[in-house]
Amino acid sequence: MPLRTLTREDECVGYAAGFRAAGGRPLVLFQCSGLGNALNAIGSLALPYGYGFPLILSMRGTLGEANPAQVPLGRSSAAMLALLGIQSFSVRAVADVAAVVAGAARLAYDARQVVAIILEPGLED
Amino acid sequence: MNPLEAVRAVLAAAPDALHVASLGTATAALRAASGDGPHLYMGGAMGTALIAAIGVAEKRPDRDVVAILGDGETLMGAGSLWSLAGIRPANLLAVVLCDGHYTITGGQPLGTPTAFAEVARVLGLAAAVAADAAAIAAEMARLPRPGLLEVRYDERTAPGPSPFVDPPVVRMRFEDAAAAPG
Repeated sequence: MPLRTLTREDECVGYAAGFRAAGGRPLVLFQCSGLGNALNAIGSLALPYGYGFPLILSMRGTLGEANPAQVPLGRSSAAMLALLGIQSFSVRAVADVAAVVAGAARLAYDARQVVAIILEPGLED
Repeated sequence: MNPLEAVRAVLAAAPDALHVASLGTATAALRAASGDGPHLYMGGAMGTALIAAIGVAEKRPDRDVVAILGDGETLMGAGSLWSLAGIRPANLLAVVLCDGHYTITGGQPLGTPTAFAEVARVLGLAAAVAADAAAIAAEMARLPRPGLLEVRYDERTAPGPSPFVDPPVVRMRFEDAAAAPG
């Protein structure tokens, strides 16, 4: 799978939807503040069309955050995902990553769901 | 020329391509022109049709892919012109249907320059402007990919109001079309 660095988070969702529509298995990564940019592409493309993919979000705006501008979208990210009916799974330890990603891949590609994996602050480097 | 005539010319020039249409006029015209063919029609997600077409093109590099886009759509997803120029899929043509108005919300003027071909050229993309069916056919045959064809029309009468799009049906039909050999 090629790595593509795009201009906005809604572009990442749109690219993944097209790649999925043509039979591919995409994976999307962005920071949780970008969820705000991506909401319409998720809500009016990925979800209604059933284009499932794992969505990996690095969290800002929660424990340890020093930038006020990161807080409102950070603290509401999990709730926004839940309102959209998107299951999210938090990862706090590297030891859990493989199992969460494997399970999310099944949910995304076989059960056709958008699945969020949230990389929580404090996750080891 | 109206958008239906424009999209008929696009389809005639690329009958075996996978087509992705933005919401509203582009989708209505592609549906009417293709007899509701198995294309990827957008029911929403304004601004994401070009990048979705790039995703299709990258997954199926052996197929020709055409993105049929409204002009307002292209403005809303303008960053995807930069992505097109960066990724450079060799099988993708973007067609911008340009009448300078947001048609399906009541025809409000865009209020911006409509310099899509010029911008594409600055980004290093092949680009052209066409204002009739013969020019569309000629430019689609001539333009290298990735490229952008700005289609100018002034008859804003067809194909009518925003069409109903049933996403799961679109998905299933397009998946079959995209899985077919090139």
